[in-house]
Amino acid sequence: MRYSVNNYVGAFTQIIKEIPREKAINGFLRLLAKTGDIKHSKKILTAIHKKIINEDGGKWIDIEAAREPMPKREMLKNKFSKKDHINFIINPELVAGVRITVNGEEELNNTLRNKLNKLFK
Amino acid sequence: MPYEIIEKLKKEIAGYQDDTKFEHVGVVTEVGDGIAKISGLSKALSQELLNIEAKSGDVSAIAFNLEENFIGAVILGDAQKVKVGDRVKQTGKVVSIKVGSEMLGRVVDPLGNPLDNKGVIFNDPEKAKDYPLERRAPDVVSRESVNTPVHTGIKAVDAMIPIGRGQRELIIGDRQTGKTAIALDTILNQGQDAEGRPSFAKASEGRRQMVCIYVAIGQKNSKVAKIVKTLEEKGALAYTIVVSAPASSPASVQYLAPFAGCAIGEYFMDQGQDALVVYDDLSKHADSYRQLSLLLRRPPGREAYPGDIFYLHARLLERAAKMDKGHGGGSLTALPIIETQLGDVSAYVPTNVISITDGQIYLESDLFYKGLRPAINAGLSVSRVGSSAQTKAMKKVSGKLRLDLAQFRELQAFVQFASDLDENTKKQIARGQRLTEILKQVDNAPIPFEKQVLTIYMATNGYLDDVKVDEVRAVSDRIIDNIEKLHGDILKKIRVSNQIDDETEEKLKSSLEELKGV
Repeated sequence: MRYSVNNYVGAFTQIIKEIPREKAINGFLRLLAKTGDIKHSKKILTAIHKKIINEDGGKWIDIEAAREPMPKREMLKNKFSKKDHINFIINPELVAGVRITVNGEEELNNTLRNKLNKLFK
Repeated sequence: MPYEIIEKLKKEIAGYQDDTKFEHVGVVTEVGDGIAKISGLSKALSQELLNIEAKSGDVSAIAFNLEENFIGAVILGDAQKVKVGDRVKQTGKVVSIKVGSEMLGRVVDPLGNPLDNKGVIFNDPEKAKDYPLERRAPDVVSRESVNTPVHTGIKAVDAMIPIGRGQRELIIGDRQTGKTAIALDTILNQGQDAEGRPSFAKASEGRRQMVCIYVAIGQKNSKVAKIVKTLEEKGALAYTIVVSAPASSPASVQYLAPFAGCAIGEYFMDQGQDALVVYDDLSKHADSYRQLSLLLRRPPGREAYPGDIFYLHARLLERAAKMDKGHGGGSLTALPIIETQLGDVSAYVPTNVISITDGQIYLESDLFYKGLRPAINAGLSVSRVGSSAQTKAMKKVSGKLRLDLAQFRELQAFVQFASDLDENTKKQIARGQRLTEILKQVDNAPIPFEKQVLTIYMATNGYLDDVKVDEVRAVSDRIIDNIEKLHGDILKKIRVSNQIDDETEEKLKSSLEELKGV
């Protein structure tokens, strides 16, 4: 990547406060195409999304379960603030149970895989 | 299935406590060349040990770079196992090594794992102590000045560049000039130097058995194997520990090796014992640190080394110390080795280490190829604190040796005009040639200190002036041999009292006169 993800995130979150939203988005996408980093757009846009959520006072929550249907999806959602962004992810490696990650920093791991790992360490 | 196994599993399952709680985690976002970039873990500490939960098992890493949005970590285990997306957890610990006296005679890697196929190191794990690889050097108040010698068994060193316990003496020279040989001789000599003395006596009882630690950094495995074999054959492995991070090991492991050796040495120092640690060599250590730093994208400085390369070696060597009695009276002596390129001591790392250490033994290729081995350049070699630790006996004979050799070096240019010189100058040149000759020594054969004293006494007092230069070594060896057999009490007295008193000197003179004609 020509510039780091954090640089893109910083630039976009600042410019969006200074110029009209549509102009900022268009300009940003054109910049990504120009620098050739459009192929990393998913990663960059996710980072921007996270930053906006955090600046808004919310948290980026990843809820992982081993398989569909994810149990008690609505109940889990209601446990968090409305400002929070909640991602539901299916991860069969967890075997069973749920893993919740907050802002990619803190984790509540209640999966069977984690329990088995701890048991046989 | 046997009953015991079922019972054990039942016990494990019943004893399992489900204490699910929020934990700090990170995620590997980039990995390559033994370096991992980790997002998250904003509360990680510098040098903290991290645990990467790879699919094929846990891998350890050290947090090196704490940046605003990520951590640059150095992977300690198999870097191939680590994949992008793997979770990383803090351990709250810094890198440490298990140390204890059971390590003596073993070859280990910098993380304390055995490499010698002799099985587990600690039969009783409770006896092993965890020592952090990075530790603050002892403060000024807890130290005392160097007062006991480390006898290397090399005449030129013990007489002219004496090393004291707790000192840091650099061995510097080009490749193939005998740097490792000096360090190895020093280790071999510790056995015979402490002979007859209690193995772990109190500091006040003089020279005690030193525990030796040889740290091989970036060396060929064959060289390390040869050194271990030599130590074993000469009976020195019993009091030696070898820490090996060969050239084939990752840069991270090579970087940790001297710190591991130092931590082991500190354990023995804390027990009130004397330890000697040889870092062979710090040039390769600097290279491994440069590799890590460049991969971590730290800004390169002179010769592409990072800015903190001085601090790296200073904080390592500053841990060598002589503790006062109130702090156990132990000591840690460091013999770092630096390899120069074409004799260039003004390169970055050599000048750094020269300025950190308390002196240097400078080896020259020219002297080596002239047959002067050990190839020590007496003019450029120096020991800043060791002379205060020298024994009285050695001090008495070495003063004259140094003076005679210095005069000889001044006159050396006139050797080819020998016939035109006055009698006095001729005598000085002849004396210098004989002194140079007696300082020659083969490797792996360190000489006990009392025999060194005797040899130098003979040479500086003119007992070898009538002997042909090429026969000087053989004749002096023969005389020493005869003195040992016929007047063994003289050697014993020098060894025990560490000095040549008037009575001993008279005895020595008469026995030398007696043996001169034999």
